[in-house]
Amino acid sequence: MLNVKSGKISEAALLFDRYQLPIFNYFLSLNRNRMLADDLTQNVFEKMIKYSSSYNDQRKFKAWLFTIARNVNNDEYRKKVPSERSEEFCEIKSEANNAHELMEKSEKSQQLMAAINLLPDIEREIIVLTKLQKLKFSEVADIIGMNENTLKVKSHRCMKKLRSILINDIRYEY
Amino acid sequence: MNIEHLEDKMIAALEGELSATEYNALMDTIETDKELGLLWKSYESMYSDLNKLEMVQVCPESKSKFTEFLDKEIRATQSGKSPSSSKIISLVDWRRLSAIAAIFIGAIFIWNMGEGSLDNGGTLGNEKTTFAQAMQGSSSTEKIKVIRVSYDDNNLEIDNETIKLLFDVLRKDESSNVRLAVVESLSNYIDRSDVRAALLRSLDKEPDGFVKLAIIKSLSSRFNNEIENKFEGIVNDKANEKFIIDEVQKELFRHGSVQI
Repeated sequence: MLNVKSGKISEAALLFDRYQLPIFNYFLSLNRNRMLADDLTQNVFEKMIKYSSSYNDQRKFKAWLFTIARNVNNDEYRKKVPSERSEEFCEIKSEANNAHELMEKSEKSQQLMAAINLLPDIEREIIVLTKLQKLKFSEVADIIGMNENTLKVKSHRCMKKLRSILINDIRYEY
Repeated sequence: MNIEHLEDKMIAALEGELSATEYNALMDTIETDKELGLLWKSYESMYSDLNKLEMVQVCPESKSKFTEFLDKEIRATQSGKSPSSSKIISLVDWRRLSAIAAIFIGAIFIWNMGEGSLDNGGTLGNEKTTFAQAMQGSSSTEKIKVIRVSYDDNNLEIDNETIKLLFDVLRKDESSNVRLAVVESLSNYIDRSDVRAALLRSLDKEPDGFVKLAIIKSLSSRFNNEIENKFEGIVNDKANEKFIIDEVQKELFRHGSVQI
């Protein structure tokens, strides 16, 4: 990123290769729309170049990029009325070898995604960033603009709520 | 230890937040109760399945779209045109120009106001009359100009009558731009409890989302229990627009008071 900041824009291609997948999946988890997720991902990397001069190398690049992604998502949300928001559910790929395992795994993944999708936006975002994107609490706190300890408490509550949805609404078998 | 506390402990264990001693103590407690065992199993299974979630692959065209954009940026840099990364600099220039223009327009307007005041004897009372008159008959642009010059950052004193006039405009004016200018002007006096209270009340009646956002932003700068309660009411009222709820939730988050 420091190279991009210093004017070597071509280096942005490497960052795109490395972070395109997590950013795309972040948008997909929040919006459940592949085309939109793809457009928003492009938007994030364009903004990354546009605002490269404002990048502070004291801050972790991934957290900075996700902050841009979060702002892009909020801007997109503000543009739309609820009826325009797609309800396309997330499709989960699996690398399981055995067909039965593949089916079972995929079914469980879909149940989990369905439960995550039933959470309110902010709670879904916390789970997506901490569990799906596997970002550290300190990084998510930085992205969302929240105290790390407060985030941990919220995250615990989100997990309780997620379990409750899985058991009561989705009939998840464990 | 009640069940809720144990549930928190289980989550903390799965998040790796417990020490070995705490973890073992928890396991001992779980073993003694079948129900707790099932609860632990459900959390363990949920965490394990969450860890197995894999990312959805992106379509290959995404990369070519970005490469195309990147090539354009590189060409623009090489040919000396402004790439998007340097647009910020030109934006700053525009901001500077706009600021100079605004000062110039403001100066002319104040000079005109001064002329008018002198014609009427130049008293403060007359200026207020001019302000009230401008709010009644002028175009929205004129009103906005008057509202903006009514704030003097060298003199933060404002009398109750002017505040009342501004709130009257906020309640009654049909133009959302005028109301937005009023909120911006009133934000300079947000330290006053009467201004905060009146802004809180106006949140319920304000029909325009962007004016509401300006009020929310202004109130957030002086966050207190009353504002927190109001904000929580907005979040819980599903009749509110989504972007308003988002913004309020963001502010509640910022002040560490969101209830999930």
